[in-house]
Amino acid sequence: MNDEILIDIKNVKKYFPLSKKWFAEKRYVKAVDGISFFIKKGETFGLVGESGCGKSTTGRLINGLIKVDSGEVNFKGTNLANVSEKSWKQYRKPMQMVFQDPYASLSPRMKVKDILLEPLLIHYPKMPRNEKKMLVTELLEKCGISEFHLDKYPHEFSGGQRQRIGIARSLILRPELIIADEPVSALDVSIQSQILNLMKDLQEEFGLTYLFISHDLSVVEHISDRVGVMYLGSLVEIATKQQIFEDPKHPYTQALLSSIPQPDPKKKRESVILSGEIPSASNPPSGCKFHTRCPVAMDICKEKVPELQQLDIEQNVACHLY
Amino acid sequence: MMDQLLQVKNLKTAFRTDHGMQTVVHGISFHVNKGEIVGIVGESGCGKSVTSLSIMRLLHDTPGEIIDGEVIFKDQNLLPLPEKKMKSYRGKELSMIFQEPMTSLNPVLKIGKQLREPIQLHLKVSKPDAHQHAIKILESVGIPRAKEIMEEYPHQLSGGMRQRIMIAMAVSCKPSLLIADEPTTALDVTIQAQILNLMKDIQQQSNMGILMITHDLGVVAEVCDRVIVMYAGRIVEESTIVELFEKPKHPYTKGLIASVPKIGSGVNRLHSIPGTVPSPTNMPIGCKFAPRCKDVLDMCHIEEPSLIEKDGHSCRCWLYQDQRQGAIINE
Repeated sequence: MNDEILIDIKNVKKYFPLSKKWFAEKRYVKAVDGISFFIKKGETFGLVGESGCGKSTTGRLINGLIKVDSGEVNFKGTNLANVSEKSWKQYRKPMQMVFQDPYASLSPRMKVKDILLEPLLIHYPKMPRNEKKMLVTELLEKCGISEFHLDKYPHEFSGGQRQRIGIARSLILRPELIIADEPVSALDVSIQSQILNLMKDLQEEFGLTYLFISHDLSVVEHISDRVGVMYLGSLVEIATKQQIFEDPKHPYTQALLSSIPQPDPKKKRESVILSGEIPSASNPPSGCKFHTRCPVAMDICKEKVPELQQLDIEQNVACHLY
Repeated sequence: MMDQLLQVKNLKTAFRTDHGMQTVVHGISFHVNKGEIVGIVGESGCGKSVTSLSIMRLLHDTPGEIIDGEVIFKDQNLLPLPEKKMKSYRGKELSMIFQEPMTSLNPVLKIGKQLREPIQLHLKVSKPDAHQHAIKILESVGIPRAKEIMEEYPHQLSGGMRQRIMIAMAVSCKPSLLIADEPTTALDVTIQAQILNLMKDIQQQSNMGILMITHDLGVVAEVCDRVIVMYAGRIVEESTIVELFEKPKHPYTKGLIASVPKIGSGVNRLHSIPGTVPSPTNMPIGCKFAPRCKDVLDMCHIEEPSLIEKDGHSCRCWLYQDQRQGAIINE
C-alpha cells in the first residue's frame, strides 16, 4: 500500500427535500451533512453506522448515482462534482459498485454471460467477440462460477453465487475503486465468510481499493484498514482499524462496539446500552447530533457542533471531550 | 420431567410443491423448560421458522402441512386440537414475535386497538380495563408517552418502537411460552441491545420460557441457556450454551462458529464452509452435511447418522458414533 490518495472528499453535503407544500417552509432530510475523508490507493475504507446515518448515500454520491449539493469529490485530482453528465461515462469505468441485495441487483431476464458482457459492449464496443467472452469466462472462474453456468439466469443461483456474479460484474472493466454497499448483509454466515475471503483475494490480485459500507462492525473490522463511523449524516470518528476497535474515542463508537453481541457466552459484556432512538435526520438535534443519547454529554454539546479534530496520527474525532 | 413446558416429538412438516410433498422439517424432537431460553440457530432454509410456525399451528397461509409428530404443551397435544380451541391458546398461553415489526402490525389500526384486542379476548375484561392494562404493559416495555402512543398508527413509530409494541402485545396476557422468530434481525445494533435486554428482563420477571429463533450466533450467546443447531430440516446438535461454544462437536457447528468474524481476532482469512445448503429437492443420501464436511467419512455418504446424546450434549455425526464399524472416535 502506498500513500497515493485515490478519493478525497471535502465537506460534501446532500439534503433531500421533504414534501413540498405551497408556501410552507422548505424542510430537508440532511442525509449527508458536511463530511470529509480520503481513501488511499489499495486500502479498504470501512464506513459504518446505523440505518439512516447516510452511509449508503455517501457511496452513491461518490460514483455519481446521486449528485452532490455542495463540496468536492476528488477522484485522482478531478473534482467529480463539476463533471458534466456526458463526460461521467469515463469515470464510471474505474469506479464500480457492488450492491446489497443479490436478488434485486441482477436483471432476471439476462443470462449470466450477458450480464457480464454488457459493460464491455458499452465501454469497449470494438473489442472482438471471442476476446470479450474469454475475459468473462476467466473472471467468473476467479469469482468461483464455472464456465458451465454461463447460459443460466440469475434465479437459478443461490444468494451467495449471485453475489459472486455481482462482484464479477463490478470487476469486468478492471476498476480501481469498488464501492461495496452492504455486500454480505443478505447472506448467511457460512456464505458471508466465503464472499469476504473472495473480496480479499480479488483485492490482492487486482490491486483494488474498497469503500466497504456496512452496519456490521465485526465484518468491517475483518476487512478494513481504516474505518469511518457515521451518525446522522456526520462522521464522528475516522481512524485505523486498530485504533477504532482497541481504543475508540467517540462515545458513540464506544457504545456501538459494546452493543455487538459477542459469540462467546463467557464474555458477559459490560455494555453501554444507549437509551432512546436515533433522532430523525429531518430534524437533527442542535450542537453535537449525538448529545440526546450520549452518556457523557455536557452543556456545550447542545450548543456547539464539534469539529473533526486530529487526536493522534490517523485518529480523528468529532467530540467536545477531546 | 415436571418442568417441561413444551415438548416437540418427532415433528414432521412438509410443503406441497409441483414435485409432490417436500419434507422440510424431518422429525425433530426437543423441549423447552419453564423459565428457560432455548435458541434454534441455522442458516436460511434449515427449517427453523417452519418449526416455530408448526408449533403455533400457523401454517395455513403457507403450502405447509404438519404430517407427523406431537407438540405437547403443558401435557396437552396441540396438533389434534380444533382450531377454535387452538385460538384460546394462541396469544394467551403461547405467543409469538415476528421478525419484521412493520408487516406484523396492522397498518390501518391504532396501536391501542391492536393491543386491546388480545387482552379483551383472553382476559375477558371490559374495554376501559383493557386500555389501562395495555398502557401498563407499554410502560413496562420501556415506551415513553404510552398514553399518546395508544392513539397512534404503526407507521408513526420507528422500527425499535414497533418491535417493543410487538413484544408488549405478545406478553400482554402473560404467556408461559414466547416464540421469538428473529426478533432483532431487522434492527440496528444499539436498538438490538436494548430489545435483547428487555426480553431478558421480562423473562426473569415472569419466568416464562422463550424459544428464540435466530441465525445470529452472537445473539444466541448473549441470551440463551440452551441451543439447538439445525441443518437441512434436522437437529444436528443440541447442548448448553457454554458447552456449544467451548466444545462444539458437529463439523457444521464448528464451521459456523469459525465463520463469524470476531473483533480483535486478527485473522486474515475467515474460515468458510465450502458449498451451499442443499435444496430440499436434491438432498444428498446419508448425512446431509457430508458434501460440505471437511471430516467426511465413507459411511457419511451411505447412511444418515442418528442424533445421539451423551452427557446432555447431542450430536448427529458419525464421528461420535462408536457403535458403528469403521467410524472414527474423535473426542
